[in-house]
Amino acid sequence: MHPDRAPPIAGDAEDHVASVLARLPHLLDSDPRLVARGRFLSADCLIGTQAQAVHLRIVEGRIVGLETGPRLMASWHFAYRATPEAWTAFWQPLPKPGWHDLLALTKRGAARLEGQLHPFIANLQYFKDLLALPRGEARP
Amino acid sequence: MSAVIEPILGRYLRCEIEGRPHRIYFEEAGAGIPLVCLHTAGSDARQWRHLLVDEQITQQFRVIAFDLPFHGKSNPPEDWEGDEYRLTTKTYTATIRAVCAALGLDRPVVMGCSIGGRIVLNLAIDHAAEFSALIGLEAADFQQPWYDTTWLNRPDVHGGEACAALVSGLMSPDVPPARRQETLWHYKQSGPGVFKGDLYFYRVDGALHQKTPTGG
Repeated sequence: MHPDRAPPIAGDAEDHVASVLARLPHLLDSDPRLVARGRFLSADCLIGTQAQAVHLRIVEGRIVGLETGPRLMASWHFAYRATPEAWTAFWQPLPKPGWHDLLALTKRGAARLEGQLHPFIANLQYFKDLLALPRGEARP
Repeated sequence: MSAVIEPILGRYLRCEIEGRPHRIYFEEAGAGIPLVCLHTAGSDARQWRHLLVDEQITQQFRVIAFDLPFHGKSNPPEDWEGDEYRLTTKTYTATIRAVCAALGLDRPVVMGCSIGGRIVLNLAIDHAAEFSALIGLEAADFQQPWYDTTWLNRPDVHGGEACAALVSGLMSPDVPPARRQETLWHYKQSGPGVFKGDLYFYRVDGALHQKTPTGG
């Protein structure tokens, strides 16, 4: 995404990604082992697409706040934003190679990881598993 | 379930590598053509445990899997003073040749995965006459980095968890859970900075894309 372009406008594809991400608190609450693995993690993250990202507040492994943007003067530690195509591919029950992993997506340029990366890297498997939770859901 | 003892035998070999005393752990099973197996970056020869008990393979091959220095049950060199570990092409090559010579292997087959799949290319380029075959698994002459390896060895990041979490992306999501956990467990156990130091070879020192034929 060229930095000088006007910010993209959220369309149906971006809205769909945001609506899937909005289910993460519920999905995470159903996975107490994953919550336990994040018990030392508290972070604010921006997750979604370039045009429409969701602010996640995690405290001790649990999502305590989720807001769909834009939020005025919001702070976040790190942002992970991918194309709607990338999220769709990533959330397939059995994703294709190269679309199966958060860092496979950044590697192919379909996602961007920005900001203060320490909480992301220090809890990498937690974040990989958290953002893959929608894979287990039945297709609507 | 009745107890089973697998046919794998593990031993320690003391030898010099590049003039420095080393104690190398290796496992073997089978008889026949020597098949030396090289583990990946940040892991150890436990990766070969299924091959070591494969009846079809061990009927024809003496399968040998050793731990590189700093990995598994092979210590760092006796005279190591705690310097940052970095695998180089020169040392990796010397280690393989020293272990093969110390075990008295006659023109072994060497098979390696990942960094092991890279070094067999170097062995083919520089020492082909010493080996009867060289096999690369998940091999590449060059790997474009996609993350900063500094994260792998810092006091504020659990190196084992970080290494395993990064490697988890190299596994298909449908790997059987027990195999996935076992593989990642080995990465979690690797020594501080060892995976990072191995990747120095893979991404920097051992890059071969200027030496291998174009289009290959």
